[in-house]
Amino acid sequence: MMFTSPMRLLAAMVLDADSDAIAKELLRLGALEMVSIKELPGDWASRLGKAEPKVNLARLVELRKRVEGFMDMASPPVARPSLDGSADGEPADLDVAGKRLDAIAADINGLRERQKDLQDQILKLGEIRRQLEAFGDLKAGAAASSAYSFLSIRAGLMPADVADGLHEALEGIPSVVLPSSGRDAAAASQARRHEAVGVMLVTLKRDAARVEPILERLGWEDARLPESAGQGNAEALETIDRKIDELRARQAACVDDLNAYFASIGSGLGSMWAALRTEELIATVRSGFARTDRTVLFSGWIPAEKAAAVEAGIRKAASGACSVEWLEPGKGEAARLEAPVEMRNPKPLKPFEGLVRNYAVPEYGSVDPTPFVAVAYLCMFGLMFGDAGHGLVVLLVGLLGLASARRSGKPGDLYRVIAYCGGAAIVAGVLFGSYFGMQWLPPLWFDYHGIVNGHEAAGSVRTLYDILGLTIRFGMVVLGLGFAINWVNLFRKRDWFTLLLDKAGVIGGWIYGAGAWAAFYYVRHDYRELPPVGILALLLGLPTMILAFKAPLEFVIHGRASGKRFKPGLIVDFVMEWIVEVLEIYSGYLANTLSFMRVAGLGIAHVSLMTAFFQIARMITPEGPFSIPAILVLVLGNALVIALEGLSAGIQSLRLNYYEFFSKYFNGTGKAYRPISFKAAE
Amino acid sequence: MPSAIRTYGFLSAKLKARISKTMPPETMDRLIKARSLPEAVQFLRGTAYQAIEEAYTATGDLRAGEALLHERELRLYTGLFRYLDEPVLSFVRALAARYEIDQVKNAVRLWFDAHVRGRDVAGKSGYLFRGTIVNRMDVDAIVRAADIEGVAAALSGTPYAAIARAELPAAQASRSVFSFELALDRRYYDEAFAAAASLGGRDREAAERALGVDVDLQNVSWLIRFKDFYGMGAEDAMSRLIPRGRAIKPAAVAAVWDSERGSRGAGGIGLDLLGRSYPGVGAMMGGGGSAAKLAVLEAAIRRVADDEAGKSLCGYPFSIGVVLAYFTKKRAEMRAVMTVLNAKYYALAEERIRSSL
Repeated sequence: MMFTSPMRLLAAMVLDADSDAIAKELLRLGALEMVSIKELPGDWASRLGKAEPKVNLARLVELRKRVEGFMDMASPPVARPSLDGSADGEPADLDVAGKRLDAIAADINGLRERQKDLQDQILKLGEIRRQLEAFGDLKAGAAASSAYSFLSIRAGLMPADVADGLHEALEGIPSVVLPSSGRDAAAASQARRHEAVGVMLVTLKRDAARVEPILERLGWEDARLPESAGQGNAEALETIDRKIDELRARQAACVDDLNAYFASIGSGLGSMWAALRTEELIATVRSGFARTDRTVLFSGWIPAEKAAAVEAGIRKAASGACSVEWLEPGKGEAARLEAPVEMRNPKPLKPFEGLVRNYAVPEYGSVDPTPFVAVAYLCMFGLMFGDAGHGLVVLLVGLLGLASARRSGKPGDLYRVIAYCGGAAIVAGVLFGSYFGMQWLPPLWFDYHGIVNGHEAAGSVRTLYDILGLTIRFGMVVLGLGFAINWVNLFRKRDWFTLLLDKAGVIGGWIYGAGAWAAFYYVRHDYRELPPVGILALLLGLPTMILAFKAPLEFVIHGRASGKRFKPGLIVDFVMEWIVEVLEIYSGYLANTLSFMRVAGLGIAHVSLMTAFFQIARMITPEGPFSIPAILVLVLGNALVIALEGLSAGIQSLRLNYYEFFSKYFNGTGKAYRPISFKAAE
Repeated sequence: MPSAIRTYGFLSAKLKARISKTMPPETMDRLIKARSLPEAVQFLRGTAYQAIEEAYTATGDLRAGEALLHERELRLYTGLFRYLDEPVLSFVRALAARYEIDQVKNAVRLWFDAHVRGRDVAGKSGYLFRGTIVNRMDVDAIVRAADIEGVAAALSGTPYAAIARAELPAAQASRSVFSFELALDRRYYDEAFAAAASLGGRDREAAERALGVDVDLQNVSWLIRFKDFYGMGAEDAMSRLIPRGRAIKPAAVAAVWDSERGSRGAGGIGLDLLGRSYPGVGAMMGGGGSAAKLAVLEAAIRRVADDEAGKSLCGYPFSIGVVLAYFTKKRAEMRAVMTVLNAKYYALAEERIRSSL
């Protein structure tokens, strides 16, 4: 936890026949970060061949992606099975898988075509509707239709016993069938004679060839449109709307059918995906192997604590027929290889690893800053956003986001950090006695709102200056911690020169500590008296003078080794370097420290904004309990403060960590550890 | 006149933000490589083209999604009017007329197919855009008009009524709407160039350059039709070309019409003229020479238009160039996406799809 994980470099040789089993075991163990065997020193590597893939990797990837496409098409998407390599299924037959996927595509296409047919009917009915609406009534429409409309509007008589069958017979043909109740006298008497009923029929002219045989079969006889046909328009439009609704319902049913289809093939798709992905991963691992005639060689980094388990796994998979060698980072054949960095923190601190990685990966073997970042970040956020009520809201947002991320299978580290920030704000809110800008309980530490609003306060923090001083002290602790971590890192690297003479080394820390003491001395003496000159000369003058020897010493130690020769002009360079470094230390560290005043600044802004909203609410309701508009202002004000200040506090905390804290010790030259694994993302 | 920063500050930011949602090349590649239409449509999820995916999932109808997307883009375009002052507003409105002319063309084509050619157009009017772009009109009234006068009446109050009265009788006689559409396009470019002339120096230059490339794209397709399909004479063809193209200008075409280049067909003329104005076009054509076909010539000019748009986006941000670039790029992207999806519908091969983009 304190330092990045120690690594070991594995170099192993196994029989070619065992290579698939080995690859699978390595994926199952999920601990090896592959290193190309050709990266190891020595010319022997050039005589090795590349392990030929047993399958077409590109085709595997293409098929796997197709399967994923189908899995995501389902609603909800078909879950990808978790791979552990335990299944001993047959290797995927790519041709069979391809044909199966083509068949699935054809099935889905068929369903879409069904939907499209229904859509065509909807569009045609929509067109009939628009035309009928434009004509105003059916009679006018019929007159127009004879000339130029797409519509055919006609009236007729049909035997009563088959009239009901007209709807079914016209199934799939965009049409409107209306009973013609108000038929004219001649038609009525004709109907009575034949026991026929009057019907009005609206179809598209283009469907005439399909409609005519149906009408003929059902005994249709054309009749004059009744006088009352004008009143039938509304009924026709209603009928069309009803039909469109029915068609839309059938379209929706197609979507249900598709989901049912996916439910029926879901497990098959999952199995196919698992088989393809497993083969793909094995092929990918094998592609990193080098080979001789009968053996394969591979190499990779493994955390030291997992080395024994990996070796046991390899020996088991190879039935003992293997050679395994372990190398230390930085030594022997591993000397030229860069060991990857694994940050190993307890689960609650894992989300903060993301904040560190977002900046850079720490150097191998250095202090893992994650625990310090977690504490510093949360302290800063709490001090800037100290309100228990607001913190509760942020906590809930974090927890809801986390639940949502879990449901969708996405990483939830950001939401965890948000939830932690909410917790920090709750703690700070309780310490400051602030609950949605109100003081429901007395503060456990100091009354932030009271101090900002100029009220009398007791205790160690009474004024705004005290708050500013508090955050400066906090900043000094953070920077001091940065120095300490840097010294530990340099000590472990045995970089004595930098440890002693760098601006973030012992000499820099000395100047910083002395400067801080001198500043507090000056403040304690009411800004009128500096420490005695002798002490200042010892505490600040001496290290400043020692720094003057840094550049010449560096030249002596490193310059000569690289073949540089002394010239008189170098003295000017040494002096200039010294001046610049002194300026950097004095002005830089002062700026770094004062930068922490933003913690107080944002905290004060938080309180001030809440105070402003309470004042607005009081202007709306000058006395007594708040009215509804005033409560609305307070609710909106709280929401605004949570959103704005939450974002500001989060960003500023990050900034202080990255620029003030990390700049003291962080060497982001590491390479992240990415082991091959069945669980690894693509 | 308001400063360029005031005029274009917000617009530039808004459109550049939207351009950042441009479909990445790898998504387009996956779209082309998809083995079936449902799989291709699936790749649109989470992109600016999600509307197509949603409409297709609900209805199985690609065109419904395209119409929806087209409608959204039009609303964005017409929504820009409220952020603009004269003379930029007039220019952007003149450009919007292009969409309106497409709206008129689509409606008249349906009317023409149904009433003159006697074709089945049932249900096709469902995809027409019915909102107002610049002029108010009833597209359904155009589609169901009894005759030319009915079409003109449906277009009354718009500048297109007079064009309909003047051009549709001949179109009806020749059973082709080409002359009518040509007249609409000419009107659009006349108006757009007139509006561009009233812009300030930098804007005018950017607008005329972009319109010039656009005119070339139109002219080159007509050129091929005039010479290779209709066998038109030089004078007749020249009179129909849009005058202010950057490369394909009537005078320039006349000069090579009967030359050795011209004798090798319109492809040779197009290539010759394009090569003079757009360095690199010859390379794009792969030395196609006189065998260059319309699609290849069009693709080359589209590339030129896209490059011009790219330059505008990388250049000074407070000019009409950003607005022009956004719509050039968006139109090109929408066209490419729909080309791929339609090709998937007809199960065309990957190479054929790539060659048509």
